Amino acid sequence: MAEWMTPLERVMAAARRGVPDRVPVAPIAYDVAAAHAGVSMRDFVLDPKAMAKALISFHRTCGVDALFVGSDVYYLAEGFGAKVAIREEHVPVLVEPAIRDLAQVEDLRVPDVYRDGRMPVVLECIQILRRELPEVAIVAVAGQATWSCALQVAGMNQFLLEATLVEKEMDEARPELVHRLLELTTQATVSWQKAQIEAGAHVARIGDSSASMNLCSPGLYRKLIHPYHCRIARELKEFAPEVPISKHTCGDNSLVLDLWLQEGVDCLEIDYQMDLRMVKNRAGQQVCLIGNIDPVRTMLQGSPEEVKSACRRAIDAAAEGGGFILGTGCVLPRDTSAENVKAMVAAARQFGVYGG
Amino acid sequence: MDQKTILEQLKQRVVEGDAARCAELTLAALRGGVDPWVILNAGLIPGMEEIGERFQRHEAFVPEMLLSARAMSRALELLKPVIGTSEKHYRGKVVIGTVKGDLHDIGKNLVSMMLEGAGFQVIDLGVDVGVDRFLDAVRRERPHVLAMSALLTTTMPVMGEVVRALEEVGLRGSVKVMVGGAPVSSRFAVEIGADAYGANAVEAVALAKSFAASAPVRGDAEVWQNG
Repeated sequence: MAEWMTPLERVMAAARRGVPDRVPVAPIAYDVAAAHAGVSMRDFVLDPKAMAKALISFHRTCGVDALFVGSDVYYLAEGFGAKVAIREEHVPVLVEPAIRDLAQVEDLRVPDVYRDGRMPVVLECIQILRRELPEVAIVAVAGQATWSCALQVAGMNQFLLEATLVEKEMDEARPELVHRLLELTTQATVSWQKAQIEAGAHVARIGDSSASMNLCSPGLYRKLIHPYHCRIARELKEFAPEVPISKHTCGDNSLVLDLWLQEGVDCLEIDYQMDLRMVKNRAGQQVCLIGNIDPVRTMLQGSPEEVKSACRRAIDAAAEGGGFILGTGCVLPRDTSAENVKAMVAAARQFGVYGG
Repeated sequence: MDQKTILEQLKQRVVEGDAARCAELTLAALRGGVDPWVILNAGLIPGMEEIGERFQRHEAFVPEMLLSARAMSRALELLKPVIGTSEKHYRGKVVIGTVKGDLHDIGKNLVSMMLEGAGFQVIDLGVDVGVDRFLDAVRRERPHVLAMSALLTTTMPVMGEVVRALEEVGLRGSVKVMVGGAPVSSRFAVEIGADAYGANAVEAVALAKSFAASAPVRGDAEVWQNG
């Protein structure tokens, strides 16, 4: 049967838990798009036209249904004053948190997402993509939500420790400072996502990579992260009820999946460390699942045939009944070949067509 | 409090990650004449082993390990002036660092603290460590184990460069190399010629223990006897 939906229609149908013509394909691709298009990393990071050019080329070459804007995960932290180094041939790196001690949280202010750091680059890139590729879905950059942003702003070791002291209610805990920072990063997340929706993003994101059981604990998640994610989802839905919200977290998070399902998001990006079939069984049609091809072992190191068979397994595990987008568990490494990305699309066309 | 009670409580406070109580108990034990090595071996280290076991059983997570390691470190700071830097009581020596271009340190720090908690002498080179600095440290410190961490697919190859450089200068045979970090796998470890891959801090400690236990006894560093 011929494909009868545009990429945008296909992605939106799946994101709203419906059945599209076939499984949409949306790997998370940042610098790999620049590498394929021959765009220098510095231009990709700083110039909206170069970022758009790379993403447009990635869509045209590989045939993916959605594009993830942005180049890295530090947009908000940088807006808060964290130092980010831009390198010629490397994704930006966070070199210094915004504050040295949590007491300095009182000096922080929520960034102006229309002006600060490199956020204007992303907003302009979204506008260009809307003009140039009106039929392709645009997914907002996370860059990053509540918890991860707080770790970037206050220093990972320091903030994880402070938050743990609060969670355990230990004598040295400083709950008012911890919550103050989480409050600020939550407000920033909401205004950053709203700005991207206004600019034309079709899918909003709660991207909180480090809100992961590889780094946190179920207790910490329940007490210090879950309530803020609920609030972000609620506020974004009030702002734009028709825009699906996708939640991204790295690692194996089976232990908090039930909490995820209560947060009011439309899509869950499932990392390669989680069992997709188990997630589908537990989530049913409550959410759209996005995932979960291993970005390193399969996408970077595997052959196109290995990619295709991994995609087939993912489709078998989670595509039934709709509400599934074939994606990668995390960001594609820069050296991933175009052939392997094309193999994802080929697999979706071969194994992911929904019957009439 | 008798010695047994103090040590038992010390272990408990390490498991709970209560740094303040750990320090108090350590001082109390020292004042009470308890041998600092006994405090370490029979109080602090069993506490770290317990939290490591809970981690393996998914009853404790990184935050709990971090708290325990911090409590342990605070007690260790009090013991260090008393036990000195003599190598002979350590289980072994580890040089550790996150490779060049990579500024992630939480996993590396945790491994570092857990190794200290298991009785190793740890030389932590920090983050963004290039081939030459690893090489110099191996030459200078003569560690049993070199541990490298990379959290990015773009920085992983540096680990292979370090192994090759060790071979070129003839130091490869003197040290076991173990690698870790989210994108790293045992397959990758084999490909670059490392000795082992540790999926988490607890595995890293177990690997270091087995390497140190099988290492030939050196003139200046006896193999740890009490573990």
